[in-house]
Amino acid sequence: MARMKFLADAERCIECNGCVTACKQENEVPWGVNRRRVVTVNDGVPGERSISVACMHCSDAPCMAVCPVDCFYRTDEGVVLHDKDLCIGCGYCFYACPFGAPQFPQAGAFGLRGKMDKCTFCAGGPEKDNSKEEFAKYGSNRLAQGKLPACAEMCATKALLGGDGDVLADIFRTRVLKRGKGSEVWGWGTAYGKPDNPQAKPPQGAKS
Amino acid sequence: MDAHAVVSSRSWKIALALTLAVALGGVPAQAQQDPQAQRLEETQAQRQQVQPGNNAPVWREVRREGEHFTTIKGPEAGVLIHSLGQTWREIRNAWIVPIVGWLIVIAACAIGLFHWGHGPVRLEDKPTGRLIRRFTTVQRVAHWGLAISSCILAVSGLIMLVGKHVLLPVIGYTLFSWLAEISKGLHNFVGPVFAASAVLMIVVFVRDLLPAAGDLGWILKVGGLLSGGRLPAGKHHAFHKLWFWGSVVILSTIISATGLVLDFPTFEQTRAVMIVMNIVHAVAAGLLMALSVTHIYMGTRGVEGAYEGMRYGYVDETYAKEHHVYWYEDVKAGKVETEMAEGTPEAPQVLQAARS
Amino acid sequence: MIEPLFESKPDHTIMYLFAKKLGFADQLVGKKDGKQNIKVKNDEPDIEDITREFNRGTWTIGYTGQSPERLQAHMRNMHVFDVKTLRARGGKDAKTGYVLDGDYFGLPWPCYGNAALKHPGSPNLYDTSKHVMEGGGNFRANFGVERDGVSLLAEDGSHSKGADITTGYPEIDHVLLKKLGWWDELTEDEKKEAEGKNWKTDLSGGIQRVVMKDHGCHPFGNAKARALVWNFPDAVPLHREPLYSPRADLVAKYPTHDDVKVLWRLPTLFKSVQEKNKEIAKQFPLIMTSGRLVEYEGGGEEQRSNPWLAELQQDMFVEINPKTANDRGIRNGEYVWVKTPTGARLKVVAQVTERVGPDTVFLPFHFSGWWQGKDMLPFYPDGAAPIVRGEAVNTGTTYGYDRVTMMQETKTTVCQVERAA
Repeated sequence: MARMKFLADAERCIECNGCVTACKQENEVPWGVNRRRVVTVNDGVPGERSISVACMHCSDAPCMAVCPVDCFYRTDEGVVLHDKDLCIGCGYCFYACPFGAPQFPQAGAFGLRGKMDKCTFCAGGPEKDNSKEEFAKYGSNRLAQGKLPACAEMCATKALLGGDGDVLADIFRTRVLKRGKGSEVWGWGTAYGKPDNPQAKPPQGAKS
Repeated sequence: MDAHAVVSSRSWKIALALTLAVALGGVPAQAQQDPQAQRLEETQAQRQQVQPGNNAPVWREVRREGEHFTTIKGPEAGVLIHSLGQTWREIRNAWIVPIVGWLIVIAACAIGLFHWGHGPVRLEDKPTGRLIRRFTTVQRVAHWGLAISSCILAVSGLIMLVGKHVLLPVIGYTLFSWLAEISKGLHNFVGPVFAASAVLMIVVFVRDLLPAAGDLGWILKVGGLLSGGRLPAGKHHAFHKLWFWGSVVILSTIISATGLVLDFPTFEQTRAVMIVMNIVHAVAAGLLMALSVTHIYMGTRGVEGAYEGMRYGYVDETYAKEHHVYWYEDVKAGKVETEMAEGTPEAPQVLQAARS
Repeated sequence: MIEPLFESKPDHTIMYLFAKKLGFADQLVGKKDGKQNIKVKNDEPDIEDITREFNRGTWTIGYTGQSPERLQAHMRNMHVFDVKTLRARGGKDAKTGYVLDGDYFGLPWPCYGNAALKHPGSPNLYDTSKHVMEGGGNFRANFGVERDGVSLLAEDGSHSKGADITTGYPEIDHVLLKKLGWWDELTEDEKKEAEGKNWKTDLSGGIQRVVMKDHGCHPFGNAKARALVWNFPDAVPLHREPLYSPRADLVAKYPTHDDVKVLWRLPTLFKSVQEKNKEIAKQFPLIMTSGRLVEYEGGGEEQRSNPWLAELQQDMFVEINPKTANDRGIRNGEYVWVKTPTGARLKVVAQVTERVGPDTVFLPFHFSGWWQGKDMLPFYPDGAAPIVRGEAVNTGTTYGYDRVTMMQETKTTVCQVERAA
């Protein structure tokens, strides 16, 4: 069975927010709920990189671990989902998540946050696949239709990859090799900063 | 129980190790002599000159846990990786949940053992039928406000803390979620009531509970409990004072303050703030709950005559003489003005109303 | 493909209705003496007829070969076109029997000759590595054959692949065709039409056919591109300071053009505006440039009314360098006034960033709905206001036109930024 994953290739991301908009549109996500976001490091200076981040569907999900009502579950494909009917809106998953994936529709005076909402890997929720109820609560269930998440499908540069982890790993490995880092990832120069051959240069790779 | 979290408190250990390393070894000051340190300082722009395709400086930035640039508006939207969450998860699941949970059980068992082994503290003489006003109405309202809100908060808090492990397997997901939702609602609305009651309690009781000479000796002899006698005390003996200062002044204040921060996330508190508040709140509340078991016991079954005092405001002179003899003598001598009555605390007939 | 929504109509229907209203509908569709070039049904001119009309007329651009039949055959058989080269590999249209082999998808212009010539379209202009009937070409002889004694035609040996003439040659007309001895390759009907004409005016398409198919040459000649554009005010692009420049010294060194009394039928000012504003830097020391955002397009009303896009850019802003901001006491996220020589005062949020240098600020141009600091929301009809509104940067941009193309200078000007109290 495939183990679903996201991979955000910082070398390719052009900060177009296409993934963000695709998710919003596909799942009709309300204003203020940010299932996916694009964050830019070193904005405006050389070395600027952007990364698209949403729920990473962790193997040992901290959100799942701290939920007081145990409303999270993992599908066979490794997608971490939750049941909004059980959620009490305590916010613990948001505190625990390294990526800030859980979102709440209300500000939360007296702790009233509403039901937690997050990226579902376009795999819906516990309701019946592709039913109206499922869409109303969780958004689109593309996986049940044999499709991949809308954000990854939309990505113009294929910076954001989503799908079978093994396939993603192959794709990314190809890119790393093509970019010319390849075998230079290892070796004295990279590890210790004292190259055997001070003239050593990584091979000039192709843009990928 | 989350066994995984018990074993892998890695981030703790790494943080500790790094702190020690920096404190003891220090980072080499002379960058030229240490290319490795120099490379850690490289910006992405510099790195891609020497090693195109190596984005290590970017990923170091990502882990920095500061805010980066994003057009998305939301709480901490610019933070890419927030490592404290996993640390909190480990602390909470491995330490706080089991320790607080078992602490309550142990406290209850200890009190149970005391009650079964030693038995309640009874009055030696019969009630005289003469009553002394011990607590004013305001004091009782403050106390019961605090007490009832505490109980609601304790139960609802425990449901949210350990309910997943204790209740959920028994009553199932739907029912437990419903119960937890009610608990959260109660907890969050009664919380400010608790905070207000704590303030009121401190205001109306502090004068009676100021430390005095003899308190330390009283504590060391556990009030005479072990020796079988009863050490003399004033209106409140030292354990009352310890309880007041420890639980009401210190613990309740901590719990209220942290609780209010947690209850109103509308002030853009960061996750780090909420996590620290949550830990302090849980630890303080755990302590308070465990100690409250004793207090509740003592105030109900544990000491004969005590409950009536707080419930109705009056105690029989026997109770006063046996437990708070200095106060009894002061009242009798007219040094302390207080209401006297006749009958039982449930149905007092006031003899002389007076300021107290 | 969808039907026009609500009351909207296809473009060509609108044009016909306009023509009807203005009184020249018959001329538009070529209705005369009992004949009509373009059929009209329910006020909609027939698309195929329109296509055939421009096929008959656009000999210079090369929109003659894209007949409706060829284009429709392409659409029915998209799968025969190679996704990398965009060229059909074999293929025969089941409906019409049209052989698709060799066509470039969609017959990119120039597609010379009439449809019968079956020119495949030109994927790239001036590609000498290909035969002209394979979509190849060479540079056009548009500027004459010589200037100042120097030949403008291509050098010997520079020509499209397989061309019969291997040197440079001028545009082909009936005279040159006869000189080359190719005149008799025209049919009798073509000769009638081509007599006295050139490759641009021969409505039979015969000149183009003979030149390209029989001899592999290009009807518009084979010449060199020129680096000196002698008929422009500057034969090579020279730097001239903008009309509004913060650098008076550069204005003195690189002044702009003289005023023009009539440029494309309008008086256009250059030097007089620049002279008047030589000292503009005293009041407006920063260069202001404006540009696009990914989330919005054009005036922005459509996207700023779309909640998913509007959420991504909620405020009109100015990108300002940290040094520039610090000198003015401006912090990131605060409101500032951007002032320009038009007298505009734009109230926008400051985005303090390294994206711009200390002498420049950037504003996006997709916003509208604020006017000089005031939100115009009460003036919108109910429900019509976009979710996000902001200052329109073009209230601040200044006068200026390109000397040759009249392209307006609406993107930049000079400005001053100050903190909004």
